[in-house]
Amino acid sequence: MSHIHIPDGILPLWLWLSAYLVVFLYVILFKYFTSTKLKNKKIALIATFSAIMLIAMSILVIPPLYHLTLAALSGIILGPFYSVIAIFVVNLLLAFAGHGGITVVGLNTIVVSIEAILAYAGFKFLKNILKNTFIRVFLATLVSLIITLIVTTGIMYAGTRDLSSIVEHNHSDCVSEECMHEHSHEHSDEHSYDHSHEEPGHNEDFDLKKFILYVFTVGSIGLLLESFITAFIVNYLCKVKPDLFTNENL
Amino acid sequence: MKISDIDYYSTYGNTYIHRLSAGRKLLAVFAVLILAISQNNLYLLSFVYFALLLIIAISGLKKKSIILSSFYPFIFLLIFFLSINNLTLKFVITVCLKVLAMSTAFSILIFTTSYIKIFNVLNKYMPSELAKIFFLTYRAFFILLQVLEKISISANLRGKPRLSRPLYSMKLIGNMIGLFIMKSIESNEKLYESLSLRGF
Repeated sequence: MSHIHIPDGILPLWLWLSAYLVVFLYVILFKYFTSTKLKNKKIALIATFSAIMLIAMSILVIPPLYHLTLAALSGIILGPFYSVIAIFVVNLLLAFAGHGGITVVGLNTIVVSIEAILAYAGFKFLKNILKNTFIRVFLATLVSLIITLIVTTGIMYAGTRDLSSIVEHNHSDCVSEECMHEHSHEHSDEHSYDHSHEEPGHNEDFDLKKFILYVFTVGSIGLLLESFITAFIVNYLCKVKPDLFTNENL
Repeated sequence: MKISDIDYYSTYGNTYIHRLSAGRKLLAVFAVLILAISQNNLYLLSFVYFALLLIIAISGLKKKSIILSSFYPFIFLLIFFLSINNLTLKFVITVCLKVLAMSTAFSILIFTTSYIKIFNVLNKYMPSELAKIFFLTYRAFFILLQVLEKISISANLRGKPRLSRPLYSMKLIGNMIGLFIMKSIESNEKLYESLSLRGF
């Protein structure tokens, strides 16, 4: 739920291209700041988590709307720097399978990386405050997911403010009654000038309130599910393989 | 259709499009992508989509599977359309055609070209570290799917997740994924070691 499932051709060029640019700069940083000695072992671990996330994202928990991302888990285990590259790989592979557009890979990488980074930061921050690992991971994941969902909504709003650019308008058929009503007023008017320039309400208008309502209704179940499952996973791994959470392993 | 089935078909399929080079196919998909992003003309978008359908029809590809998989992004379009006021039919058709043109082109690509061939082309334009991660992820994906299948069978035998017991079910899923992660790390470490022996 936290990443953008929007297909290609909807979001404006400036938005997705700038996101790709940010990811490109990150890839350059990744190439030059990874130590040569440990590079290959780290690469194997990153690839493992990419594959785990890929599998998690391919399985719909609440069909057809919700799947786990396990990005918070990757953030906690891989750390903020290495989890971003795993997220980029997963998003690109998913885009090839039609899960989100290829143009939104950059945006999705940023959004899901925010989730991973915040979960890692929350997990570290709560270390001295909360002793219970389960609650610590649950809170860190939940907060990261809520913030990510807000960021996603913000991106959607920024990207869909000018939907009129997607189609060439000539006051054609309307699907909604609201639109038909507005157009009937327009035709009864005897003025000869083009109304579309003066009445922006005649164009498609992205309703942020509606979107928030849909996303947060379905999302709230997903947020809790992801937070609980991530907490159970980390709790289990802390008992069985605690060395996974030490920096030496990375 | 599962990703593993698509991968099998793309590797062992034997149609004319399967035999085309991955570079050419990627270039064609890129052209459709540019067209879908830049063009709003309904007729041009319809023409591109029907041309792609014609390619599927005459090439002997798995028509039903490719067309069904190209409709997959529609699930995600639903919330987007529901959030729009003053929705016009023209807007809906234009967006659907853009999405269909793109998803059909990508479906043809992934049904006829194995990921390895796609990565081989992309490797020329990306850092070697990233290429390695792509390759290892791809290798790990299919190995881990089998591991997950075995773990799910054993978990189901001990007690399936049930909606009536949400907390227990989430704990079960959490522990199952935890075990899966441990096994995944172990199997990828083995894969890494074997690749290191071969000079990776």
